[in-house]
Amino acid sequence: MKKGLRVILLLLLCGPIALAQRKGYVVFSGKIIDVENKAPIEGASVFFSGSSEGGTTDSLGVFSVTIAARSYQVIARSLGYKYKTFRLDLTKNAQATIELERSEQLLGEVVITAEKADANVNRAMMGVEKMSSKTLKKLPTLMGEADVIRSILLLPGVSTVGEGASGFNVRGGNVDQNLVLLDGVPLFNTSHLFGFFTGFNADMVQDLSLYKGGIPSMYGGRASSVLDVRVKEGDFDKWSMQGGVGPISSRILVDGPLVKGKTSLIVGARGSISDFYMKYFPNPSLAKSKADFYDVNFKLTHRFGKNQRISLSGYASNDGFKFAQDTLYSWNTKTLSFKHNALLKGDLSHNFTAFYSDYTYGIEGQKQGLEFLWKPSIIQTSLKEELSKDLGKAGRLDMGAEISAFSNDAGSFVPNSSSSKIDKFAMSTEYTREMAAYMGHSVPIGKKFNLDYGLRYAYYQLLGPGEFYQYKLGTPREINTITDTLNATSNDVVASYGGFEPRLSFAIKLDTSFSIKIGFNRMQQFRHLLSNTMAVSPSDIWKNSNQQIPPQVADQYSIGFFKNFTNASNAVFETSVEMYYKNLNNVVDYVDGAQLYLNPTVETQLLVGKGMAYGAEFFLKKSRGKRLTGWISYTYARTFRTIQANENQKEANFGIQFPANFDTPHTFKFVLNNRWTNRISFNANFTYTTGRPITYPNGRYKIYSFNDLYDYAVETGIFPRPGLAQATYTYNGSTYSYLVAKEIKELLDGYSTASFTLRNAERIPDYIRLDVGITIDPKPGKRWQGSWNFSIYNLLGRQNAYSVYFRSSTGEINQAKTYQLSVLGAAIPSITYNFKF
Amino acid sequence: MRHLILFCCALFLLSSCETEIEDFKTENVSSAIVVYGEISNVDGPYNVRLNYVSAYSPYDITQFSGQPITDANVRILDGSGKETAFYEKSKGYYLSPVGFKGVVGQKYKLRIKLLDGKTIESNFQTINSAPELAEFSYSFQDATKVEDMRFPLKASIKDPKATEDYYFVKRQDFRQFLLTCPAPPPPPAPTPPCNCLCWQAPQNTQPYLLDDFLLSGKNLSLDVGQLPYEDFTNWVVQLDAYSVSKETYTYWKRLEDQRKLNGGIFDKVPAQVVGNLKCITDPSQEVLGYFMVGGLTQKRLTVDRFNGIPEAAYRKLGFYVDFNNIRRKDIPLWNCKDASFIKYNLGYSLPPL
Repeated sequence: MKKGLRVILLLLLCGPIALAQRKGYVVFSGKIIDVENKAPIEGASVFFSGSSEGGTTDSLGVFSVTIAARSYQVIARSLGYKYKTFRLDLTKNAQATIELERSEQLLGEVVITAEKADANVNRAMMGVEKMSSKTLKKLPTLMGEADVIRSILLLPGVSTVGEGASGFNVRGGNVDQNLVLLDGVPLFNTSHLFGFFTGFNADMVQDLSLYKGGIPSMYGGRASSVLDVRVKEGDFDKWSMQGGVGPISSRILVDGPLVKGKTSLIVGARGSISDFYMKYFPNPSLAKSKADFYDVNFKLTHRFGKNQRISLSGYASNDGFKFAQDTLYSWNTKTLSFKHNALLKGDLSHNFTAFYSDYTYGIEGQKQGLEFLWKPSIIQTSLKEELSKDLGKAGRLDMGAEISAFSNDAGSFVPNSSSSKIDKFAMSTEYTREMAAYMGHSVPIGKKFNLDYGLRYAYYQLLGPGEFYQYKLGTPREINTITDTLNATSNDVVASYGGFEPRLSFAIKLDTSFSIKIGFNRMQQFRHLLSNTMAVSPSDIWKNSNQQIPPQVADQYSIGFFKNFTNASNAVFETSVEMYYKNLNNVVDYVDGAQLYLNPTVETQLLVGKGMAYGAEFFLKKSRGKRLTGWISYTYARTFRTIQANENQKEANFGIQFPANFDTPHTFKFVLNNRWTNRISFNANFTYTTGRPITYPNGRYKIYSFNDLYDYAVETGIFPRPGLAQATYTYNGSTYSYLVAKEIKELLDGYSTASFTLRNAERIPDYIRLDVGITIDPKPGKRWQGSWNFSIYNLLGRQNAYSVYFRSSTGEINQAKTYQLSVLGAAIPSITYNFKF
Repeated sequence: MRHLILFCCALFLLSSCETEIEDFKTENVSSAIVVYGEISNVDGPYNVRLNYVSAYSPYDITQFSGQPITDANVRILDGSGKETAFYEKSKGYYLSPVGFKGVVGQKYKLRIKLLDGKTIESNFQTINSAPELAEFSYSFQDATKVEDMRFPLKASIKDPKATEDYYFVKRQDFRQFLLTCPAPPPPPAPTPPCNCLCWQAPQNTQPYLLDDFLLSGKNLSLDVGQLPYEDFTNWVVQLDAYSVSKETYTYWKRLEDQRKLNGGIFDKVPAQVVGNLKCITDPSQEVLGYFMVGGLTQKRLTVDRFNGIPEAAYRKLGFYVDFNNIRRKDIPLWNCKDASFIKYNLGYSLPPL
């Protein structure tokens, strides 16, 4: 513990020494704001003609750039805004406020990023994808729902187990290895309707950044990727309302000033309407079913002068699902966060965040006499301080620290009515603490090189109170190898882990449009989603690292080549090839037939092993163009797991390496946005992926457990014996029947089951899907702005296999049957109307 | 999960989500040996079947059962070291000698020596006390239409308190059926005797699995469903309830979970279910199946579908039987025992319990 804290303090105190300002250079600083509501724009970029220098605004809209003193054509741009360009003569240090106008016109629309055209070449980082809310809404939809996670599945390196599966996989990582931040608050479940839709409203999204590699040191806690979703702020100037009606849900969003120019509020809500029409289905089971969800977001922001603001935001999401049965699945998330950010002095800005999040999930049994309730939860409370200092020519320095407390309730099983004969089964609540400190420095080295480096130290403690088991060493963990039970009292440290997480990105610019980048990052993860099903389910439990389950550690090495081309009409084509190798240590796997629920010794069901992933992502993007924009990507990617036996566990799959469930070697995707007129645009996306791995049977066998009757009949001569059967003949159009001799005998049959061999050794058929959509934007200048989105999901109507599976009946003749399941096996049209006034 | 699929079908307006692949076939690349045997406290003989895994092919009759393994030396060993040899009754089918019977509290294991020298052994398992059926009864549920008339069944096991108990239950139904006698020959020929009441006993391989987790000491209900009212003949339901070890229960539970996979998004990844047998002379030889040891209670319930039925219901049944040709008027027979068109036609009598 003390060692961990010392390291954190050391990290906070140590930073790179600022380099002195060079002769002939000046500092150009300022602020980029929205022309209408004067709100600062975070993440906006400033670029200078003939120079590779550039700056990005912080959360207060402030930037600072050290640059050679001369004349420049300056370009300022941000997602969702028109870019602005102006002439600037720099002879001494200068300041400016740049106002950007919201981009209502579609001309020259940027599909995925609003950075300077060659920013992808210049910056040191790679493996980063950004998307604006506008792009999100332009993509074809499933049932009219603009959807964050469905959208990022169109990016290279992002995959999923299958249609409707919850979550996503990034570069060979598991679903639980993605850190999904909604305005800085991590979410433990990102799904509505199991996994068909994302758990938060796309209308509330300002923009999103997906870090597949090159993950900045400010992020930590999950092993594979970061999806940072920023939520919009309310307008400080005028009230507006927008909404939409679709076949799955309806949405409304209201925002405006509570105190003009000072305090703004934005509130968004979305609710499913499927329950409404489910009752009209002719199938009585469906009519009694329930599948509803809602989510609500709000954000209250107050400005103190120009350089300081606070915000309070909240998010609540709820899902309930029941299919005419006695079991109700539910999951919900509630978060509340407070932020304070300010420009402290000159070019030092600070961000303070405090948040509380509660993710509760579980099952309610409603069968008469057996009513029960099982509601596990995970509650996180965090404090985080981030400092960012612009060092001028020496780049930017970020540092910060965070501390989080978690309580992870494994969910007691309790009777839920006075008549229930279920006994209570108590499960414990585990308490953990996580601390981290980080430092990151982004610095240009000469004209040719850019370096981003950082270090994060994360420290984790599993705390009492509670009972913790120790197992006999040298033998696989089982319930009967428990040697001791540790009764820890409150705040006793039961297990602790800590480690450094270095992050490094380095770019070599060979010319202004071509660069080579290399990167390395390490990530640690201290809590794991236990799921031995094909896709994660909303009732999967989270388990903390303990004495037996160490943290997962992922090391990623990557190299990228970035080259941009500009044609005669000024359209920009960005190309890149990124290759990566990822080493996953301590990945969690499961003993065959693992019992993960209501198991106080769940570590006996878990195995710890290694994983690895490698791949190459080829990307061509037309990021600017008057009519046509979009991208094409091809990804070759593999991901494997190896679970070998050791002194504390048995092996899985005979200790042989096997592909992960979501290993899809070849993926080809394209996304295009073609503007037909100023108001009408056509969108399409296409996905081809190799079928995911599956375990096929290598045979079938029967268990002769139900043959007493057959044996008796054979023994006593009942089978076989002479008998009679009906036969017929037709004469002159009439049918006559008569009896013929037919032996009475039956087949020896048994309980039929498939024999399986190596895990994931075969593959289901390849996945191909084309979606198209047409968006009609509102007429400019009108107060009521109505827009339409027509989409057809899976235009080809292809019955893509979600799975191939093997089932045998029980009864008289037990056959081995094979089935294919297609979750969305038809073309699904939808229409959505959105309005704003 | 199956419900989720149906829900998705409805929600996304699909007509079919699940399609059978009829031409799927894998070569039998497994050389695994399948063993199944049982011993209980109920009189034998007990049997052990030995065979190989067959190819995964749904419609190939030659692959319906695996090839039997003959000429094996099959023995049961008890905790005291006593060995009992089985004899081969037919190919791959081995029977215990007459008079051999399991004893409650004693532990047993199976040892098999194959002709090629391989030895397969199970672990030792103990015969627990036979479970007690707390309830095994039926009632009549009247309805407007005969199709909706039912005989709901109730069955439960009395679970002892303070112990962790697991149950495996087999069910065998015996349905009495009536066929139509031919018209008697014209006088003066004597009317031949006509037997029109026989028993049919379709095989059922669906086990019930129960455990007393969170219900210890209570009556554990078996979901035995209900019988139809399609004729007024008797219907006998036989339950064979075994009290088994947790290991045995887990084995069957895993088989059942895997057998019922429906390809849904929350299906577990299938894996080989290995039982309590292994080849001790050649660890690379895969052995599937199970040697099941358990205390057994057998009980039959006769559902009388003739007496005690309301007159109105009975009259409706008469029309129903006639209209639906339940008694096969088109194939009159002097002897129902000869009807080969009735599956699992046992003839006039039930097997002894």
